[in-house]
Amino acid sequence: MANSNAVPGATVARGGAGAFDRRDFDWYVDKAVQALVFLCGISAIVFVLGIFIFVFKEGVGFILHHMNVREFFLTPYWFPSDADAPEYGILALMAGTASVTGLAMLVAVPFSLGAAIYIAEFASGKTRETLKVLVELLAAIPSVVWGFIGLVIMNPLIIKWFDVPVGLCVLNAGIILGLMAAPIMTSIAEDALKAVPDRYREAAEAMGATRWQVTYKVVLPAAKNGLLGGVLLGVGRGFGETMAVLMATGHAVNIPDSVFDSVRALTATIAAELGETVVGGEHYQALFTIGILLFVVTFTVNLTADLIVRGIRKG
Amino acid sequence: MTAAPAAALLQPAPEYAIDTKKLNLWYGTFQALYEVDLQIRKGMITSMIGPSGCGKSTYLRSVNRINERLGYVRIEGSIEVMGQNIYDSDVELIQVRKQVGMVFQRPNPLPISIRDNILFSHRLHAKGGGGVHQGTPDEIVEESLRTVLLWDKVKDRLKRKATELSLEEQQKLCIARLLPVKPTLLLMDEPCSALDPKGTEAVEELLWELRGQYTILIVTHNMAQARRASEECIFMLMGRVVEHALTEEMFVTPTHKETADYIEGRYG
Repeated sequence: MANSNAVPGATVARGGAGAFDRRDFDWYVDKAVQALVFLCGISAIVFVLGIFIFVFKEGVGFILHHMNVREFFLTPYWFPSDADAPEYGILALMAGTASVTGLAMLVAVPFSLGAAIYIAEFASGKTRETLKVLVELLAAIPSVVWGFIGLVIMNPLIIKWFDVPVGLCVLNAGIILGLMAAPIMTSIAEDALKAVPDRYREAAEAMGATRWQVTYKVVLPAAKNGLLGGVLLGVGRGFGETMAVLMATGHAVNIPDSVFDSVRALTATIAAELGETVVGGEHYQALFTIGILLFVVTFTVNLTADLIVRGIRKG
Repeated sequence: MTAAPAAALLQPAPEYAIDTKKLNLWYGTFQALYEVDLQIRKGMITSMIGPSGCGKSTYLRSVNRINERLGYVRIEGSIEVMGQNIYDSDVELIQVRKQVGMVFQRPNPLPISIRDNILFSHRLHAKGGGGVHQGTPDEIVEESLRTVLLWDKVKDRLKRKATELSLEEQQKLCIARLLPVKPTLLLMDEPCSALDPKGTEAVEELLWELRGQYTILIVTHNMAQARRASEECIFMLMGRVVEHALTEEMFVTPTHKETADYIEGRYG
């Protein structure tokens, strides 16, 4: 992909003073712009690689010298600041992230699928355009605002409704995260539905199918890869989300056995603890190891989603 | 080939599958049809010709009300299909579309299996009872595909996606999938324009096979096709019906100058 930009398509006669070898100002502008956009284009690759190398470099010391793989992945004891025998078990943190993300998807998937179906298949004209703008707006709300909502609104509501001592828990964070992921999933799902050629709808409608039958029997099956890709991107978003999760989970290292238990997420752990560590120290490196894990997981999820979505475009 | 319909014309009271009265149609503020009065004879193949934008497709698409998908279409007048005005307020759109099958310019099989394509419409309408094929799904699939002369070609790959078929096969499939709900009327909007001459011939032969059993209204850009494959012919221009006659008469002795000019290729 880089090559096609680097090698200009224009062929200009070289040598000889022919009639066709005049390079005017526009020619140089063209070359300069091509070079500039080429740099911008490949910067994505540079940044992804750069970040990965940085995170890996900071965390690799822990992996090589301190990490006991079994302890790291399979014990729930995260006591990194214990002076005598620090423990680095991330099982509880993984359980926290997984439970919150899982619940978030239970909230977000039906919600955003319904919204996307309404926008793409049922709404028309102004309603559709207005909703699309609003969904994009919703996607742009900063996560700290969502966290704030979790802390100030959801927390007392959960305490009141379910009669539990603490409202900062899996349920709270799951709902907040679900609402956060929903706009993005709605957008992607709507794109997937819009990508289904209209002649399929027309064909089905001409045979007497109702709108819902068209959606259910024709459009959804045809769009299923795109929809799945959207869900996966939502999962990736949930996995990597930090601030809202930090604020709404209660931030307690704990393997939850109900939705009312407080938990702590991998991302939130990094955010909360990194500032207190000695740069380059064992704890610091352990946090970066978590960073590597997050990076690998979100990268895999996003790549899978992307491949699935591209799969349908080709097919 | 044309002897039978000529004899039928001599009968005193012809039966009409479509009776259109004073049909005016607007897309937004643009009027596409003006005072269209058309009687389409039952069991015959009627072709509609005319230059692009003359309203022939618009008319066709308003006979099963698929035009309404656009949302900005307004209609005055009436279209009676088998004696009932399909624009009456108490008419169920679903039932209209069951009675009036439509074949589109570009073959548009659904992206599901061949078998499911055939059964799609049947499954939609079977619950409503009455007037659909009563056989088992297997019988329906076989009979429909046999009718369009496609069975032998696809019988071993019924589970394959219909979109993998050739265009000609796709178009035949699009005709076949209308048959299980026993429509009375088949509308075809330039059904051969995406096909090569061989495919065109095959589809035309198929139309000739279906004649009598179904009333067929076909829009075409191809005058030779109208001449070969229809019994009556309608010539439209600027949203109005100019001439409606037996195909053989229209092509030999057109009564209007516009018709003659169009048929001879002076415009359009």
